Amino acid sequence: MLSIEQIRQAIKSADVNVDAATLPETTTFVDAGLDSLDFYNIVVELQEMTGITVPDQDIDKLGSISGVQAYFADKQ
Amino acid sequence: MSRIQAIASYVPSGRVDNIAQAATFGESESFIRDKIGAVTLSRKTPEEETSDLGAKAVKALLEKTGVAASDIDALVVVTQNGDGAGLPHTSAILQHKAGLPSAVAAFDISLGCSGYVYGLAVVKGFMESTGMRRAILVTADPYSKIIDPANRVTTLLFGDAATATLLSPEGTWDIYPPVFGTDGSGAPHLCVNQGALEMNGRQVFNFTAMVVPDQIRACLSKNDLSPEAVDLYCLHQGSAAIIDAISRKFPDVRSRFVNDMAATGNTVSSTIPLLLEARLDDPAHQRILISGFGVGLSWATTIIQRKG
Repeated sequence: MLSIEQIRQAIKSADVNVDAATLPETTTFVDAGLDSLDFYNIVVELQEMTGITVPDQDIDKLGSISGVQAYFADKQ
Repeated sequence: MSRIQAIASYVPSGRVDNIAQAATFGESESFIRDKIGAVTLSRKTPEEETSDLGAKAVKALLEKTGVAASDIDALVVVTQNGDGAGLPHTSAILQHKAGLPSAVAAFDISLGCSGYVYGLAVVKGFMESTGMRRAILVTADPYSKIIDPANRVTTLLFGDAATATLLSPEGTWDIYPPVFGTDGSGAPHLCVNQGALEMNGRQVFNFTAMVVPDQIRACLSKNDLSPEAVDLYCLHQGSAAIIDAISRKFPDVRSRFVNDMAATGNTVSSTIPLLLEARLDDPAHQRILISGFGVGLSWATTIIQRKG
């Protein structure tokens, strides 16, 4: 299971234009101002961190920090 | 030994204003500048065929080098959008238009964005196995033939261009053993359907960001080189975002990754030779890594080094 801290680290590693340390867990990445390519970068980092490949049909489940945590908790 | 002697290009003068085009899809100027990376997209005229682009690049190459057309032994064209319906092969049509002798060996290579790295290896091996002295590798894959202007995923990315690379024993850039990769399970993610290019942007981005850094490391390892031993990383200019995603994995040399597609867009197999054309004469560059990736899915990486 990914911790909130690990997810924030993945966001930081993705080098996107948002403060990973203070982004509220339930705020969507879209509402935080991130675009589709920022989001793809975050997913790449999460995949590398977990070794789990996210299929297209699941991508909408990863829309926020809390969504990411719930998704990978279900997979691991 | 066959080496790269010179590179020339032909970039059509037509331009699409990509910022204005993006606005019609609700995309911002910063998205185009920072993520797509192409402020304008080069466009051929409807009358220009693939072989016309290639012939202009070949003529520019012969003028640049002073090599006579009669001295060319082989012509290889990398394209998946050849003249007409693809039969006959574009290299044959180009042989005629460029005024190359009928003794030339000419064939096409059907590859997209990995095509230049493949092409160098194929032409080098072909020359060395046949004893040929001078060959021209052409890249000419005008995606404007297959772009649907209503498809925001593809129409904001691709430009038209052609390049011509002369390989000869007099060349000054050695070509290292390459590393290749293929994953046909990803074929549907970037393909032509009913005449129009379709791309699953997320899957193509995901594939590239996941596999290309590993292949770069494998190529460095295969050639016993550290990342710092390479002066310049000239990757296929898929988008500014993908160059950023790959270079992020090499923090110690990140500044050596070239991001230069603002004037043309993604010109498929021509992006790498366009980068090299502008940089090979700079003595600061002794060793350059090149990596192409895309349709197939296919990816290929090698290193070129100035002869010592």
